[in-house]
Amino acid sequence: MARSKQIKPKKTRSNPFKFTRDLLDGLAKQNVVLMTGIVNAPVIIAATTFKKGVVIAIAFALISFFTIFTCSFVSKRIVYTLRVIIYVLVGSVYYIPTVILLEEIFPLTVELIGIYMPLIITNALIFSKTESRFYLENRLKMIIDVSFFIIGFSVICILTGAARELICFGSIGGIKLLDISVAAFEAPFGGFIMVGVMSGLFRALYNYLRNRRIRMNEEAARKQAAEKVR
Amino acid sequence: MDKLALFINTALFAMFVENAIFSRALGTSVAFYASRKKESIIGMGLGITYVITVSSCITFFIDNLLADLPYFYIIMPLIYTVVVSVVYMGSLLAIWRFMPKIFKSIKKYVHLSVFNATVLGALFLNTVYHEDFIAYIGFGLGISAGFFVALFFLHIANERLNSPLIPEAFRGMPIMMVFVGIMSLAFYALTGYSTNALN
Repeated sequence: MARSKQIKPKKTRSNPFKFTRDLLDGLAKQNVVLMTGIVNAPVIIAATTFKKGVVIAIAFALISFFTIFTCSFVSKRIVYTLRVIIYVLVGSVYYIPTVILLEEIFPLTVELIGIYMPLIITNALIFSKTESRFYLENRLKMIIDVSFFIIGFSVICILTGAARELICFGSIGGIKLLDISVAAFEAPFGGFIMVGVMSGLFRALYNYLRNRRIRMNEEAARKQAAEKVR
Repeated sequence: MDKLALFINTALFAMFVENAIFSRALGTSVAFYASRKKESIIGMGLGITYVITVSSCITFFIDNLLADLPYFYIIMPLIYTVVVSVVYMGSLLAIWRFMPKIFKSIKKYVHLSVFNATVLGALFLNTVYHEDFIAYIGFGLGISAGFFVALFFLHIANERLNSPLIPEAFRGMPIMMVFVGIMSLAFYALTGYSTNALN
């Protein structure tokens, strides 16, 4: 018997854009630091103060957004094994104006961040998420989606920086708030433990809210069904 | 003899004090991904070792040539990505030409072991710390060996940390992060402490 030809499903994310669902994806459900953990080195090691967190967030936003947008014009006929070279080269080109701009505004902070600033060019948002998500969407949807992923990273990066500064030095943004000093949280192990605990708590909160919403929807559906029967 | 001592010293320093995962968090997400299977630990480890060592040799000459440029640190990432890309392309072509079976099995994931924070981070750290060719190679090999060691630790922990005893929200990435944090604390002790600070 002749085997019928298998039709492969078209690989696109052409489902209609839902503002709340896609916003939640980048901000919470697939947050790159706390949920998927695909971008965490700058947050763990370099985001030790509020100011550093802000600088990393700006650098990440500028480099990632412009790289992803520019590389969306690269032909998909080129195999990914080679296309990835174009992505990393475009990223390192965008790094140059980004670092010049940030050095003008925060000269000392950029120096303190050190090697974690150029390492942003190899982040997984550019290498992995582009292929599995962003480049399967239309361009407008992609721009909005990328923006939410970047906002999700930036919020967590700044919050982690602020929390670590508060624990380490009792201040936020240089303003003294508490009389405590647990300097260990500035070290890498402090960063790992803090991000791990934050991630666990964030997941617990997310699961709780999701389960509550599902329960409420089920209850509402049950009530509706009961009313129909009456 | 001095060169050998320098090589061993630099390699051990890179492996334990500047460990790619536990001290620098370089390529943590790649390590979490690779540590799930034994085969990927070996594949990823060998790939990273090869790329870092070969690229370190090339960047040594580039650093000596261009280090005096006033804005070298700004164009450094671009130059290093070009170097890594050339190594990646050259190696891929060689594997494709002479070992087509291996090429087929690695082509889907090979970019993960080349374009990651461990490779570029090792090259940046080499530029910051060293001036000697032997030290460049020693550091490159040491940081790769450190990555290998970290992958094995993560692999061992991976099975135990996914037990039902761990609260559901912490299972997977969060508990691995906490584990890496504790390991990082142990590795941090290798940098040494002075008891004078307590007096």
